Amino acid sequence: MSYIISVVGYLSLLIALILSIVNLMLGLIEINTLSNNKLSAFFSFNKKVIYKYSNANFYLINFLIFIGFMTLFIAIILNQFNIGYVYSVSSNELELKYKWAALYSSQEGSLLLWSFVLSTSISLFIKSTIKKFSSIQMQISMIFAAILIFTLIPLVFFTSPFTISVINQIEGQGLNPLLLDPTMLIHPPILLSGLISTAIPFSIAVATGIWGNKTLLAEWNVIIKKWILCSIFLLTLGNILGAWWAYTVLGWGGFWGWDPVENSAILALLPMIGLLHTTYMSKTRGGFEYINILLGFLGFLLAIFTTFNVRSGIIDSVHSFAESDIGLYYLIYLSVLIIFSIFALSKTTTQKSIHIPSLLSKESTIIINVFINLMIALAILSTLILPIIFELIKNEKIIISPDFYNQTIGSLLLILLIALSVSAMLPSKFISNQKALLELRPLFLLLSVFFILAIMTNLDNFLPIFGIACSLAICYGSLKAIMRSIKLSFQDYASHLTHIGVAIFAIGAISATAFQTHYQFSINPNESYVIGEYEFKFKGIYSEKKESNNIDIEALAKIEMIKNNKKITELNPGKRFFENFPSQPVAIVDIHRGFTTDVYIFIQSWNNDLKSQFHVYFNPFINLLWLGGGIYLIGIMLAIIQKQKT
Amino acid sequence: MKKINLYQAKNQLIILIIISTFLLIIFAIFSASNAFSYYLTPEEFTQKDYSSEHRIRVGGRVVGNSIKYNDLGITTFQIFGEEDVIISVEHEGLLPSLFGPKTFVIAEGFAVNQNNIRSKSVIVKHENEFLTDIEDADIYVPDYPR
Repeated sequence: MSYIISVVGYLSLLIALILSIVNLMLGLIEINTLSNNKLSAFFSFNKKVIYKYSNANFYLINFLIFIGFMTLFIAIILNQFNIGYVYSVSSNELELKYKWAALYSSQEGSLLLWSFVLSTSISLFIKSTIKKFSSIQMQISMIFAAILIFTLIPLVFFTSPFTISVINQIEGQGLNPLLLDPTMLIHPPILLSGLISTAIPFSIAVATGIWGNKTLLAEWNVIIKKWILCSIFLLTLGNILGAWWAYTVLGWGGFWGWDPVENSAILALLPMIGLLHTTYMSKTRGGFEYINILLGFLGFLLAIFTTFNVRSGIIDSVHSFAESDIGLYYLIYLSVLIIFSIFALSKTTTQKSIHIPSLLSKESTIIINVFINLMIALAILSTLILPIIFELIKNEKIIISPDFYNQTIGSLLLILLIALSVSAMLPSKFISNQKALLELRPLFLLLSVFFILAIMTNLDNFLPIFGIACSLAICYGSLKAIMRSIKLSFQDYASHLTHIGVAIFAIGAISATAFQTHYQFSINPNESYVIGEYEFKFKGIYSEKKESNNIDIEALAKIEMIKNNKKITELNPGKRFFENFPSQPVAIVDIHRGFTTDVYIFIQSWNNDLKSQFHVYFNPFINLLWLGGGIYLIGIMLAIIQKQKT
Repeated sequence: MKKINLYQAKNQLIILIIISTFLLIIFAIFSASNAFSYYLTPEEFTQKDYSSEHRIRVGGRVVGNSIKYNDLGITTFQIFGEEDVIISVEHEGLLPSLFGPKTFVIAEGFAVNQNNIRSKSVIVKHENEFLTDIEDADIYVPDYPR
């Protein structure tokens, strides 16, 4: 059975690769016909047939990769442990839903998912949008084919998920215990889909930059705006789910640890947000051709850099995959993409210069926002690249610690909030500097109040309080804009809603980071520990035998949380022990969710007398982070729906 | 030579962006110089005397039965590298999930001497191929009640 599955899966990927090469060749022929009259005469006659054949090929490639993907899933469901990948990520006891997570939990499976999502995105684009690029259709197809080839080569030649083991295996190693969480059923596929979706703007940007006419150069990003929005939606949702997983599973009280892989995950998002804003500007004011093309490139280039970073094992991260040659492969791939991008950029011509009516205008604040987004991306990128350069030059390995991010990126995010708050306060149409300053009065008033508040409390908290004040100003400005005009377009509502989401998210993130308090204590059973108005009464540790997912035992502490002599709730932090990884327990976190503050509890260790060490975190307003993220996503969703209607 | 009109908003914006970029790069370099740490193997750590003021990261596998907890929240354990050189880690703070014997960890902190590091942060690498397997279960039974 394993052999049949393995052969079917491998052949489907091999044929998909061959068909991708065929489509690449068709694209190359098309380019040649542009400069060769005889070929041109022949192919112009058959052009429609070739277009049709090329498009059909992409659907077939998508179907074949789907077969490969499903074959691997079936192999995991049927416990075919003779297949090396299935052995390393699954086990007989694993529940069906976690077998889905096992499918992409390791390098080969995640690359297969990557290929499947890529081919699906390409098929959807061909079905829905490619006709709008009829003059460069084959060139776009050629770039799609090249990206598919680069994606499929490792799966066929280096890291096939269908490799058969010579030893007959009846049980697998099991899934990484940290992935046994419902969030992991959707977080990796969504984040991967977001990263891959940047291939569409990239391909269109390259094709338009090299072969596009003036009209296309001015409009390509407006035509694919819904694809840009989809990328932003998927990347944001993926990152928020990742933050949720880190908060509820990892047991350190935070939601973002500036881990290199976390940083990589937001890298691609930043230029896509920039592209969305310059798209708005070029649609309403014209210009921005160079910047649009550049941002179109950056999203995918950073997504591939992210893949190289994660797969190479160069940077130490909690997420690292096993080190392999695939890192070098992705470095070569990235280099090819960069060369193509530079070539396309050199071919791009500017149609209309950017007009900035005033420094205090919507135009300049949007440009500043895009600029800060890129600076944040650059700062994050530098922390991922610097260690590599340092090792190459000095042969010493260095790591940039989270302090750098808190200082540099924290400052940039604060500037971004200031620029956003100014932007939210200003009307869309141009007004004079004096009128603009009048419009900004509420912002100055709000900042002054918070400035005094910061001085009165503690100057150490000046920057977080300043950030919260700016976030409130964004909310005020956006709400005012909604109230000011009853004739706001659907798109404007979506835009304001998104900015309100960003502001609420920022308040939650700032509060939970800057004003988090942490306590650590060791107590015996039936002893209490008092923190402020709360008493934590430890009643003991109880074990529970589990029957599924290779979980051996869950040991849970019983803690009564008491306020004013009244029990509020019982908290049960603990540890989960596994049959297959017995020496590696996983934390079970418990959170008492309050309206204003989360009480987050984690048990570090206990001795034979059950004297236990606890960590308690008070995370103020962290729920605003999830709420803001949700509002942001609804705003993006509305913008996508709007685009589809028009 | 064409004269730049500083009263034009576009030029003002360009100058603002150039100055900001320059300031941000200086600020980032300053922050990075205070926030980088050397990454070392246990072998490299023991070969040189690292100043207690310089932040370092040492990566190695946790030695079985070396993990000890105390009431003050300090955990001590030993890690070893490829050449079986063992160093001691005195860790204050949280220990991540999957921390245990044989796991590959990276301890970040400051050197106490050439064989000891005092750490504030520990990362466990989520490796594809887990080292503990069914046979290991008989050797590494965790020191927890069941």
